[in-house]
Amino acid sequence: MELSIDRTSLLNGLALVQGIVERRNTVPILGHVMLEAENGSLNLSATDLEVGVRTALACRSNGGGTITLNARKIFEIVREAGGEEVKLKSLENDWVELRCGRARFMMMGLDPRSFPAMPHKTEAKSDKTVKAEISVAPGLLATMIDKTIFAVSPDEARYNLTGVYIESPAPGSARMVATDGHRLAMIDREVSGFSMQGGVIIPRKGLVELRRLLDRTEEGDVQIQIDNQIAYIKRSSTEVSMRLVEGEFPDYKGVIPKQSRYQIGVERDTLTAAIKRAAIFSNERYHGVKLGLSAATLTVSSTSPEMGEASETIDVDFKGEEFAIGFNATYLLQMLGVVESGSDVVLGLTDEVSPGVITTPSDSQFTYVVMPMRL
Amino acid sequence: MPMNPSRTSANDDAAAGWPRVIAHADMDAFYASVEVLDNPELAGKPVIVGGNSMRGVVTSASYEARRFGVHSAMPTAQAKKLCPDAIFVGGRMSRYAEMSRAVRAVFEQFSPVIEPLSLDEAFLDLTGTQRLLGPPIEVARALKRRVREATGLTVSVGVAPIKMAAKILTDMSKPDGLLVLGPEHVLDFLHPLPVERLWGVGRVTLARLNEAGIRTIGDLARFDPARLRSRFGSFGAHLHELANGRDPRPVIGDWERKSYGEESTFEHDQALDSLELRRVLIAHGEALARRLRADGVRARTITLKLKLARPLGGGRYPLLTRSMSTDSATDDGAAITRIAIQLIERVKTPDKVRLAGVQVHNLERADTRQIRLFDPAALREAGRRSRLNRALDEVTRRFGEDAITRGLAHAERAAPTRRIK
Repeated sequence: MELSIDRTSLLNGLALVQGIVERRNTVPILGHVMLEAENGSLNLSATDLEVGVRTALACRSNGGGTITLNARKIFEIVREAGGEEVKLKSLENDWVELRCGRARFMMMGLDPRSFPAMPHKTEAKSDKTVKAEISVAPGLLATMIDKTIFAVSPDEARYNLTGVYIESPAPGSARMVATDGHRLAMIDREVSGFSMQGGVIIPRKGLVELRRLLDRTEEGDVQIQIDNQIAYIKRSSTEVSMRLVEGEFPDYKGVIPKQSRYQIGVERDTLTAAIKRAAIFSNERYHGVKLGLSAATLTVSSTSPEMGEASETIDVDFKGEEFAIGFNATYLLQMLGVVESGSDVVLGLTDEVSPGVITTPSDSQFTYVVMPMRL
Repeated sequence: MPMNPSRTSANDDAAAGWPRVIAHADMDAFYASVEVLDNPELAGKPVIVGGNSMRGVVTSASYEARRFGVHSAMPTAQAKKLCPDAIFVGGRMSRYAEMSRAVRAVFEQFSPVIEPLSLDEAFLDLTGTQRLLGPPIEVARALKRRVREATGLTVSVGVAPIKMAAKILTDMSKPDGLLVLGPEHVLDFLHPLPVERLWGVGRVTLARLNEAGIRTIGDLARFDPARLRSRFGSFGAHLHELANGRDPRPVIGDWERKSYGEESTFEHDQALDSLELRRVLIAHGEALARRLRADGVRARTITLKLKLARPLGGGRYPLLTRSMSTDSATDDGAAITRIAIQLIERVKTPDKVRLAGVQVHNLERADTRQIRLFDPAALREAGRRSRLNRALDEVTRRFGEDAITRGLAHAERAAPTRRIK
């Protein structure tokens, strides 16, 4: 293989696959990116076996060929290199020569035949295992991911919560739900042509990779294909494929309260600032803050046996019996963080042990349920 | 100089000038004294509490026995040789724990900040109590009196502005002693003492300090700190601070305690797959859970500690630890034990085990709990467990730690040889 390629284009391609390369991989090949040249195009691939990313770049190649290189090192080299063009040439025994400006690197690759296969998409469109095939606007998809992914569980032991659940509650409608067992975020959007039997769980890491693709403004819609085991996404010349999370997503509908006793409207920015201030004194692990309700007043407070107390009042429209409810401040702030600045939120509360429901008039199809904590 | 209460005069009537008032209280020959208390026929006789086996060690000796040179941690065989007429008793951990709770209850009348070091020893932070309770020496006198009234046992007390000095004072005052050291006398008191009196100076460090010509704490205080640092690293700097009477360590009340642990040395070395090893872990897991519940905290991280029966020389053995964190904090003995036993699988060694222990860290207060969205079944199970644990605690409180145990664990035999704070 011998090729030359625009340095910026290669750098962008390598940046795209960095996230997928295992940082502390014990299998060396998983720390590598595969470069395949064919007919004036260079394909970069990386996979951690669960998620695979592949992107095609234009290049000038002299024949085809395949090499693998340490993904982090080649990225650093191309980032630091001068010049506008990078030249790659494969030598004997998986050695690769890289020239850029007046610098020359000799790198040892690995046998490309040991590079693992990506989770691959189902080719035949008529195949019965294909559950859904749709085309989505990138902005819409980005919003759906942003408003749910923060609630995904980081706990590998709760495997079925480590991804975002996607289903079609009605033809032409898409729903994404994420929960870590303490809070739940749910968003609906119209997606014409989308309908699917049952739901699937998309792994968090795959969504992060997919999300990276959505910021590139110059490219078109996103093609998504979902089958029983794989979600396959393509936008322009980049593909992301991922193995779905196996397991049953919990009965999320059962835990969303139908209604709450009190609906308390409050400005998103005011509430966010008050919680951030109170959280300074809250315990490092729980970040517990208390929301106290009394006539026309919402009091955000926290206590720390070591530090002292903090409290702040906000005027609200509340008529009812006084009560106070504790929440993990992080759970509240993460939700408020994805609500548009300047808009209002509505706290749906019932008593100190029932779930709180937070909604916003700025996006009526977005619902957040958060369990209180006893403080 | 330390002041003996009998020689104290009224000029010591306030804690003015004390940055902190720290008391160290240590029960006199605690286990042996409890045995004498429960069996008055033993009074005035040499009493030794400890394992009767050849491998056993003395855990406590009455002052009558100490006169023969017997001390705790001495092999039983040697103690028998030194004091053939001694009365050996097996030791009843649950009874000692009960008396320890009675003593603790007295301590709590004097300070909210109590740092127990073991069943019979604790630091009390008396800073700021003088307005309520009087000058340090009066507080210490009252403490001794009330312990005696409540339990019939004697306690020795040292009071100083720093922890280290308070502990040394207690040791020097024993038995039934009381020594108080004002801040202005700390250095005069510390400097003539042998350097091994400092915390953290063990056999190895002592030899190296002696090599450098350092024999007393005063020698160390005058030693060039830069040279200390180059020889002992940051530990050298730390020792230099201590030698100069600067001991910033506060009394850490047990509600802000960072971990709990229990461990015991086996009478016979155990293979990794032995039932005995599991039995001991169960006993420790249950005991730890009991302590967590008593203190109203839960732990997220469980650590298994093993000392391998492969001598490294100098009485040292390889120490292994394996840890696992759980999704939610627990104070349940079965849960702690299950993890401790699982962790055995992560240990790969052909060696036998000499000591096994369980530690828990990452503590949370039990009254702060995130309520869950799902798993009503798990919630019900947790409710059942916590009711069971409350019942267990009640039985233990009334009938002692060995009154009820899980099937495999036999509490009395797995009584920890050491409780770690």
